[in-house]
Amino acid sequence: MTDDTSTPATGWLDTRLPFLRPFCRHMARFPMPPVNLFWTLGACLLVAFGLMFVSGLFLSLHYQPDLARAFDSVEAIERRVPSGWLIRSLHTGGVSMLFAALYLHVGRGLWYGSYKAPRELVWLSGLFMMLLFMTTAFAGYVLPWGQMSYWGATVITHAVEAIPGIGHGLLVYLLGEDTLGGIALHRFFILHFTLGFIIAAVIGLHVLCLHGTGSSNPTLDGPRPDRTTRPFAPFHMVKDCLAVCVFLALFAVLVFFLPELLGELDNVIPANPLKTPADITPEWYLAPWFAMLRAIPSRLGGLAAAAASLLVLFILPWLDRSPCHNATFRPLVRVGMGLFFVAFFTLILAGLHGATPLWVWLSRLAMLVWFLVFLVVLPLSAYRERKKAGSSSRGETP
Amino acid sequence: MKKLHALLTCTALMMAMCPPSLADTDEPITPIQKSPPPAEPPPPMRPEERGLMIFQQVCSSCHSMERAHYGDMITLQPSVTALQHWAQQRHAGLESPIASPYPSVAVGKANNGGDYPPDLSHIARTIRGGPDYIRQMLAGYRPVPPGVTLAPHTYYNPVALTHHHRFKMRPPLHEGMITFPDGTQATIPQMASDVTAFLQWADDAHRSTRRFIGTAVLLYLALLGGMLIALWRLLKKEA
Repeated sequence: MTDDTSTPATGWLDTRLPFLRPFCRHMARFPMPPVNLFWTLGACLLVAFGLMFVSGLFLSLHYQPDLARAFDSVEAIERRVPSGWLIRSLHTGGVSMLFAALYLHVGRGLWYGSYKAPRELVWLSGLFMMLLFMTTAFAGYVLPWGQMSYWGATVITHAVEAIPGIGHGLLVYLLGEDTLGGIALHRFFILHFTLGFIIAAVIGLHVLCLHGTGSSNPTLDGPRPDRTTRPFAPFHMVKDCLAVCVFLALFAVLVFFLPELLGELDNVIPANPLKTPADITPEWYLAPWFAMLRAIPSRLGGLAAAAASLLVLFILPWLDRSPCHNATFRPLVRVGMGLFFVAFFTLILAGLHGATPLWVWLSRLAMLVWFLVFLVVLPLSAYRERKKAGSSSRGETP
Repeated sequence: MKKLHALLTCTALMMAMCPPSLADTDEPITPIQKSPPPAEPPPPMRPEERGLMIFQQVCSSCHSMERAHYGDMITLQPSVTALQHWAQQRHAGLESPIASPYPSVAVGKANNGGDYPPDLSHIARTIRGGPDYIRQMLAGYRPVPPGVTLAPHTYYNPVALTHHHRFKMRPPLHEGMITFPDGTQATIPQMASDVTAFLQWADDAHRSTRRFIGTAVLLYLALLGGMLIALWRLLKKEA
């Protein structure tokens, strides 16, 4: 406590929470390499999560996780709860904004090699959080108990049945009864509500991991490596705020001016287990994996492929052990990552379209690209680069 | 001091003289009744307000709007008494959903040539073709062309999507069937357009508020963004 500007209040806090001042100082002076605008997505995600968390808490005050009342309570939030429509549109629009930022954030990590040593834990905690987000979004989409909620949940939960041997038993155990009903709805609500708090904790873990190793530096592999750092505050703080401002503006345009883009078309019809909608479309952020489930004729195969597509991301730090990070300066990886982004986008479109032969074959092709890039292109490129670089570890950031 | 005294006296005198008629006569006090001047035109109504009148008098005799309560219409019909009256006519209260007039689906079907009148809560969003379809379909009834035979309780509507133009809904709108207080002529296209506006409102009642808040939010963010850009450039220059 050598600080000269300690007002009585902070002095009082300092003696009781001695780590507070070092912590704040660490956050403010955290050395940032010369990162570009893609490094502001984390701040956008934090804000998006905060908005989802707060709006979700307010919605949970009025939502009733009950088979008979769930749909009506959502309608009551829209029509009768003061500003309920506003909070709900922030929550339903926020999920799209959150996933858009999340996928860009992950894409940035892939392109700039942020998953590599020594940042494996940052990558793994982030991927774990992505899985949590996907689960939360899925559980949340079930809650309004509209037609699409019900049938989307039916399709996805019944994918569990494909697990050989224990499939059906597991499904019944998870749903609490033979079919998707009141018990499952209650469980989905608890899952959705609890996961919000769990994600908040994992965000803390993610930031903790990041602050252990520092941000990756996109210039190191380039012709002019720039090893200068500057403290996080005030420059990067203002930059992050600026990015958040732009992010919120896009958020506002989506929520306030283009609400029909969010596509709740069939979800304003109450769930009817006797009437399957014409086509079951998932939300866009889960569409890639829905397309994968559909692309493989066998149910178990589809489930395995969808799971493998996510698991392969977890072993990425060990698949690509090249000293180079930035895909811009790795010709093979640049093409591979470009193809992967195209494949991901194709899978989103395929999931949103009907299961016509064209889209099924396109999603098979995209899946092939997905696995080829991660299992063949990246290790191959890493092997060549390691050979080229010899045993030296050029480009390793401190 | 003299001036003040004079002023007080004057005030007291005026107060005493002001209501001479009331003080002198034994007539009971009657509230002053303001009759509206007849020359003043009635206030213009929004299309969805006229649409609510049509819904109350026409649509709701077959269709339900389960997701909305009678009281929700307060934005379009500011008189609580009128809404209460409407709800009571249908044996309901302000806080009950606008239910179907039919006791069961079977009765509803039997009364409408076999098709149950759909719920109108979100019809503007869920029906194929959306509001444009509703507007054209409501005004789309035509005389039966030669060569077309219609089953009983079936009506010819070339716009309608079901049953090959042999529509089960009775032509709901007729010229001049409603007298709008604002003097709007109750023509069929006018009423079709008004009731569509109402159905859009019923599907998404916060459209205009949403736009207003959105504009305010964007303006605020633009201001904040401008300041942050200025700050960012300043910090960039310093470094």
